[in-house]
Amino acid sequence: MRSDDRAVSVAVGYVLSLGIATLLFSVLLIGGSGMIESQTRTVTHDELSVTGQQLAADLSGADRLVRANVSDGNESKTLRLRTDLPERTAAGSYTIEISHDDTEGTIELRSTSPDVVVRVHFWSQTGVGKSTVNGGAVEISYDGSGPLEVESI
Amino acid sequence: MAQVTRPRDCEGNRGQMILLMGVVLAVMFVALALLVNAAIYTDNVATRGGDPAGEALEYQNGVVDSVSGLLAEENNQAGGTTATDIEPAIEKIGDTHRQYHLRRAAMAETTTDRVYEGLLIEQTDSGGLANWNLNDAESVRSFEITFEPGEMPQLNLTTDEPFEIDVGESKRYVYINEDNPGDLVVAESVGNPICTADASADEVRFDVTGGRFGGSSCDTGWPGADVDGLSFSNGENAVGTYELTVKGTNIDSDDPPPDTTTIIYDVDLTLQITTPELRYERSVTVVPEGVDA
Repeated sequence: MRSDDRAVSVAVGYVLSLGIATLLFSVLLIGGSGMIESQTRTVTHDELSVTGQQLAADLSGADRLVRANVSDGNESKTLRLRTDLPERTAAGSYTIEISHDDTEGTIELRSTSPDVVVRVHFWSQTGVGKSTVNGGAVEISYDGSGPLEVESI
Repeated sequence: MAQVTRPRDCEGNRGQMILLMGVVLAVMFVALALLVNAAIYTDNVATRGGDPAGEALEYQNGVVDSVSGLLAEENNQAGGTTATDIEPAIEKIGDTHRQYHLRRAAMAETTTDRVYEGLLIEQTDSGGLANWNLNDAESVRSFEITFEPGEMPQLNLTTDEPFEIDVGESKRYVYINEDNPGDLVVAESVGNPICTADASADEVRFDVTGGRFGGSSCDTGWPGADVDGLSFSNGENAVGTYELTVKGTNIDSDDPPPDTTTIIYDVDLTLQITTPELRYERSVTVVPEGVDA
């Protein structure tokens, strides 16, 4: 019996093209998505760092105002300082946790998906109340006594 | 012969995979572009902004310095300045600072709560110290006495009464004990010295509010805030000169100080500044510049 292999090369060529294209696209997809995730993590880390530094600067500024002593200390003070932090990062929403002990404090900013945690240290001789707030505008307040309070507005 | 061409009704399905991947790749490139944009924006934001406390501190220190200088100048001239005289000047200072900060989008408001008058009491001619009493003294500053130990009597502490400074809640005595004539002493109670100085010196300076006696530290924190009236007693047993500034004006007419001048002791202000980010309010007591209160 005589075999008929006419037009086989067309089919093989088609399958080869399909295979190569699939392989190429798979590599591109996997590599691309990995790169995007990596870049998202890096950018989120940058954003949280800058956000934390902004809040730390404002907390230190509020501390300076509270401690500014221009007379015999027999005075009252009230302070409201609004800080406009971004509501979202490249990774979406995030939370800010503030803790303070003695004169040193830590601002911990945390995003999920990807899970990025950034800690920023700050100094404040005035106490700062422990609090956890979501990203977005926050207000630092002081009512003449006690610690500085940070809350979302 | 085999059919090598695709039927006509299948032509529309060719290239679907390439098209799909093209769309996916396009989405990925857009996502990358957004991430790069976010990174650039973040780095830009990191370099922005300033000190949120700067505006408020500048305003606060500006007003306090201006009013402090005004009080010093008024008191250093002939004295006799009253609260009524000083209030319009403070209002003018507040207006000037308000205009300055208004140009920088900050609303600053200065309110004078109260102006406290006081007395500059001094004895400039050396001699026995006068006895006097100021009933309503609440505070004292720049309190200095220069003793001349060589002219002062040596006291028998059982029979003589030493020079006494009484601030209501507590007292200080300054004397030379005949049992120890080499020392001029400051005592919390007679016979219990807390600071000593060489009685052979021509002059011994007692900086009462500065906490120094005879060039050495005599910092007992006295009189601090515990002033409730102020009087000198047994001044005939001390010789020298003195100067002090007292918050209070009600002199006992039976026992007046030798030389008094009305001055402004201090001023209570309320400072308020509002910016788009900050609202800050505080009360502050302003004293003339250069004082040791």
